[in-house]
Amino acid sequence: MTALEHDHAPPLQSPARAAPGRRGGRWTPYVWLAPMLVLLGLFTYWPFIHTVLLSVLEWNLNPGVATRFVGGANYEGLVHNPLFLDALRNTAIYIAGSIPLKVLLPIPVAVFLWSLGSAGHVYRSIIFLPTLISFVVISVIFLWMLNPIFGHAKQAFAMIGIDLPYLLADPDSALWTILAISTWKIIGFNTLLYIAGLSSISRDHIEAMRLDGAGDLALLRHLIWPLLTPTTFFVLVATVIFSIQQVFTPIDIMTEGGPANGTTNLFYMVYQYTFVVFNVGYGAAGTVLLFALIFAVTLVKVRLLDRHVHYER
Amino acid sequence: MASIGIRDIRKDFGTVTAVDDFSLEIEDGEFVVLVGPSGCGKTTTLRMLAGLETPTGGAIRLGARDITHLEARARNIAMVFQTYALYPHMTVAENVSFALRLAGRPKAEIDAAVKRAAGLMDIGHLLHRRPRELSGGQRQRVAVCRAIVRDPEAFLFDEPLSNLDARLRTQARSEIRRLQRRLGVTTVYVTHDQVEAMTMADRIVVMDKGVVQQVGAPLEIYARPANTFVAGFIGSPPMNLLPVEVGHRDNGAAVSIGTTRIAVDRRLPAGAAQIGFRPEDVHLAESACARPLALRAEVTDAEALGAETVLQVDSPAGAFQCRTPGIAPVTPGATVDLFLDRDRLHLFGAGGVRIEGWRPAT
Amino acid sequence: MTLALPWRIVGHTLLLALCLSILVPLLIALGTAFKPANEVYDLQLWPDSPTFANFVRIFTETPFATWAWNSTATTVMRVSGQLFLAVITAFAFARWSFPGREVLFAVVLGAMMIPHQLTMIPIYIMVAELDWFDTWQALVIPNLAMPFGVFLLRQHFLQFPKELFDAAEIDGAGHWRTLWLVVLPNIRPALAALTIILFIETWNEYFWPLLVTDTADSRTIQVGLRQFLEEDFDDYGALMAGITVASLPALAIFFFFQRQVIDTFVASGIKG
Repeated sequence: MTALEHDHAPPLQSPARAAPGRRGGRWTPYVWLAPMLVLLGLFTYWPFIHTVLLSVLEWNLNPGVATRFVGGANYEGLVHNPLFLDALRNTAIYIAGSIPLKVLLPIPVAVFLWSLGSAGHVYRSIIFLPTLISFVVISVIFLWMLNPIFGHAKQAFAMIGIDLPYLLADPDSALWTILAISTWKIIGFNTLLYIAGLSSISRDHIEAMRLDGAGDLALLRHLIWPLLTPTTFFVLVATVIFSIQQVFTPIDIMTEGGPANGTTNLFYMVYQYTFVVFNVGYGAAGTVLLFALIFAVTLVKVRLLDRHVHYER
Repeated sequence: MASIGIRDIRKDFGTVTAVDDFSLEIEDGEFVVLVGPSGCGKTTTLRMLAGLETPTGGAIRLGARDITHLEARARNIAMVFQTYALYPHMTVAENVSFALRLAGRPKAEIDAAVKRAAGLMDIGHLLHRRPRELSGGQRQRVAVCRAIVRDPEAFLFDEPLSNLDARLRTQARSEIRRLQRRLGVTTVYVTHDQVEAMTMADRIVVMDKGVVQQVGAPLEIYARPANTFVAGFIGSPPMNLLPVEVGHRDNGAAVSIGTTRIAVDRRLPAGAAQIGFRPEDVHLAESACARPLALRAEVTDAEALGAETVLQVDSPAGAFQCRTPGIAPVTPGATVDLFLDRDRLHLFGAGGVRIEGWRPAT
Repeated sequence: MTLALPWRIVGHTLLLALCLSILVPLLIALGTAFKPANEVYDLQLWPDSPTFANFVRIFTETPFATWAWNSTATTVMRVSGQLFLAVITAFAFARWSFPGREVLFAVVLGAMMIPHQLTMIPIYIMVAELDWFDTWQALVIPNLAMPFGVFLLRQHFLQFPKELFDAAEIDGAGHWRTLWLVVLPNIRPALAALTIILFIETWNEYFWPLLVTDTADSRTIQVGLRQFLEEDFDDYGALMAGITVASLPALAIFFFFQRQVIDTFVASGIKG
């Protein structure tokens, strides 16, 4: 007996025309990807290159005016400019001030909220609100509250006998006011990020440690803190980016960089150079420098995001 | 309804050959079961029939059409999946009617078809539920219902019962078979369970490592396995295989099992071979009387199943299993006398291939 | 886990302080929006005689209604476009293997690393050359590609049971119908979540509309609010009414989908 019972099949007709089937349609994936790739090319990758090109040219955004190649002169001029130095210094303060306020302060809040379990629901909803409200709206509200004549803050302080100065009039207090407002905007969200990190801790872990005789502090040190470390890094990186990019809105609305460049940052400086005084070369050069900073941070962020998402599942 | 012709199809995934030159003619209305261990290529073969994989070579014919390069949706073939693959967001009625709706059939026709198919599968009362509200058995019926509603030219089943518990599985087995007979639709059914293959198939195709090992009616395969793989795969417990040596002497060729010599055709080449016998073809001897093909063996384990007892024994010729009716009066450690049914021995030569006509004419 | 009582007291105090500091400014704005002109400068949170007059004024005496319409229309167009593109792109990456897939995926994800600030000047120039200033397309088209959405949806598509794709194919659905009729309905929660994030992000966007809209008729709500400040608009009641309206859509979504909104924002990381 043979292993194969061979066929006595009627002759097959000539092979069907190769239909563009599921696996046959060689071009299908590319067709589906094309719109996204074209848009990214047009509005991300090409402008990216273009910015670098503009940073070595002198131009005033006027299409009628010829551009002139100036090499590194834009960079050179920029870094020796007092505005740049102010912006750099303020950016550093925004970042440095953000760490205790936006990265560290939310940790105890999160641990406490997490310990409440579902009972903390109302707290969570309230601290989430500033995430939903636009920075423009927030800036307008605070501008109104801080109004030097009839602002609510002014009136409230007057009731307890303190004459509140106009915080936005002084470079130092203006900078810290903007820092405080950006903290107000982000602190609840960062707290929720920490709570998400904490929710990976199971009740079993806690009970096991409790059975081993661990108190609150031991629990914090040996269980909660180690598990929170990746989230902390994520929050740190995200907050640094936030502090570089998003403070643009309160700066623009509340102080326009002033007084005496006291609140401007690198991003706002780029905006002013390019779109206010039309010095495209300086603007582009500033952008490239800003990018170097953001890129370094973003690189870390994307790595963490990848981890974060896996971690969530 | 249509016959299916498969000629020399193969499927390579990179350097791995999943199916190697598979050929088969399936008659109109036939129920063919592809059976084999996991990774044997049976599911890949089925998916090529469905149009879910493109063969690397060969051709497939459905009725008079060559469908080798046709898209799945143009084939008019229905398939039942192992996990049933019911659309979670649709009700049972929507699941069942999905293909008809896609084809743009008139609503009245769809409703009638759904009603008829649901009646056949006895799921009329479930039509408005969603898959997650159904039990495993109900889901399986819905999956079958979805296949039959389209009135396809062929059914494909991919291990549709492997997620059911044992009792439901037996019931579903005969139900699918009854349904198929009634509808008369050509069916290809994939399973790794040889009991399913034996009980359901008109013809079984045994596969291993991408290669067809044997094609035949269930009892034919059981009675005359083409090679040691089939002998070991079909039947539970499997056929016993003992290594033997074909020896030539002046008075003829023979193999020895223990102390017993069995004459073989002298044209067989000398060398290693295997002798096979089914567990039910070994019998307990009432007494130590001299019988042909008697073996003395030690019982290493006895599984009493009530209606029968399966003994594991160890003999000088090798270890094997033996099935005796009723409750055997032996315990592990006992020595028993056994004898083999002379007419039910199988001989496998080089490469494990079955040798026919190996007994010398008497 | 339950903390010891002293810790609980400290915790609740801290949180109550935080919540108050969040709620008070919002309530001041909301209260002022309902105050009649003679009460606007009072310290009192809620007016003695609440009125809708501020809302009526901002809609009838300023271009606010036009801005709201611009915001609504461009947000809807932009978000639907972003979703559509992210869906088909993620589907192609998840469903097929084809030469160059890994490279192209890296190209898409790599765009996440390039911040908007780096591309704004050339895009601004492009918009100028196309003469698109003060148009909806300037607000919508440069922002349609959204790599984060591709990243998120691809994860969901990869987890989608393979047999459902097969079943749909056997049932006669092509890729297009498989995507819309079988896949998307089953990942509705993820889609809803993504839509909410995109909606709120777009609605609240300030920087880009600031650059490309200049005429009163073309502004969005966020840029319009700034316009009030620039013009030394001193009708604070109306301004606060405008703020309330501008915040309403996001708050309404939050009100209806509280849990999902929080979870989604948190899962997606900071979107600012």
